[in-house]
Amino acid sequence: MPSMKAIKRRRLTVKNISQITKAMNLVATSKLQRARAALAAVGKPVQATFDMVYNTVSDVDPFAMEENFDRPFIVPHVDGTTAENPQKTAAYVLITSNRGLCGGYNSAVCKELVKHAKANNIKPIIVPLGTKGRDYFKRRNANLFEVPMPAESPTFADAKVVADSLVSMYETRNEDKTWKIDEIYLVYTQFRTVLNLEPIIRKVLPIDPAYLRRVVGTDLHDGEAWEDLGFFPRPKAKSASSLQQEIEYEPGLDEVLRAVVPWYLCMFIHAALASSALCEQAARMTSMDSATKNAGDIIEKLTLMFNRQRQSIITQEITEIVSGANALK
Amino acid sequence: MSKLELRVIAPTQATDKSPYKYKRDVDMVILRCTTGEMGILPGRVPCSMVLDLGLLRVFDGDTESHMAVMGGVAHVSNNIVTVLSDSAQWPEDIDVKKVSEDLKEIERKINETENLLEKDTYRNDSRRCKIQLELTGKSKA
Repeated sequence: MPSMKAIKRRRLTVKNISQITKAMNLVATSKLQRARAALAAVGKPVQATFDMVYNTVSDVDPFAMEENFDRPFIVPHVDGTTAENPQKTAAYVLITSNRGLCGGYNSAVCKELVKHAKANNIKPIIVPLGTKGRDYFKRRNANLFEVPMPAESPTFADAKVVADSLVSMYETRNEDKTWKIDEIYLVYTQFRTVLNLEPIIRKVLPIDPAYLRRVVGTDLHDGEAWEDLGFFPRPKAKSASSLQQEIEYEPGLDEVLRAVVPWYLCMFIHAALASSALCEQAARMTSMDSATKNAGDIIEKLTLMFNRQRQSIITQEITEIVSGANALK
Repeated sequence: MSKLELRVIAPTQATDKSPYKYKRDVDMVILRCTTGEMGILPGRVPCSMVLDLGLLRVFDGDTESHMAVMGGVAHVSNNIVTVLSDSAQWPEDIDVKKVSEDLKEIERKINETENLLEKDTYRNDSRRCKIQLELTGKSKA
């Protein structure tokens, strides 16, 4: 049994910590509101951009071989059936927080990434956005490609810097004439409810028109379900008559793709950053809430222990007095 | 007659109140594409285009308004024109005095620098400024 002084000191420490966690919980709650508004604000532009990109690429078949057209960002870099080395190299844009004390939020996305790369036989190059993810993979000696990292409340300009460097990385070839990277994935956390945060991985490049169709959701084929990315509400289906027209490109498909796709990447990253920022606050809020609760439990236990010990000392003293008085009789 | 819905999105200038820089039903839009100016009327066949630096002209009823759009992309389908750009400005957004000063500074730099790449960037900047000035000049007339 520890001494009364030790228990008292320990109880004070736990109390101080619980005050800190309680304050952090309150801060996270108010930041959560702001992050929620920020995510809602990106919804419309993201939806408009996705719509635009989908309308642009919906006619393009990534596997139809045509001469004189590159169809950049749509035609895959590596064709698994002909390449000698079937292992792909992919860049994973990993969105984590810069700060800890948010429960399993950071490790969940990192683990999801490792799992995904292993399952798909991909050699990962990590593009960390957020110091926690960077440190996680630095410790494991992974390939890192560092870009300027956005702050806690990410802006569109942050996303643009990242998207620009990704596009140039995607477009460069190695010395042996192979592509430097074959695919780009975005690893972020999707907000379902405050208690349900889901780490997810989405392929952003090369663009898969069929996947984009499910994300945009206005033009679903039979049996296809709309894929909720958490950025915008479910759109209404388009009328069938408007779908039949062929699309014109000015000046040409390749040029349009080169201009449109960086916007797509940029908007996707922007929205994912906003979504992850919201999840970070939600994760911090719940973990700090349970930390405060746990601290309360510990304080209760320590108080009980303290009272018991005090009582036993009093009892002992009384016994001593009584037996002393008895001895005098 | 049906109308066109024009949506201009400039994410760097977005405010919390509205994600759109401009969103309205209009009669006609003239866009400055890399290959020349392109007029868009309601009922146009779907089209995606790459924008150049230049003026976006909006016609609605008897009024004609202009906006400086600094590159980007645009798409038309179902009578909706979406313009995505780094920067879209109305005449009132432009500080004429500052832009003219910037233009002088940039032209001085063009003459000074020997680096061709830098020269190109400055030339682009000077084009931006000139378009901004053109816009404010036009709106006065």
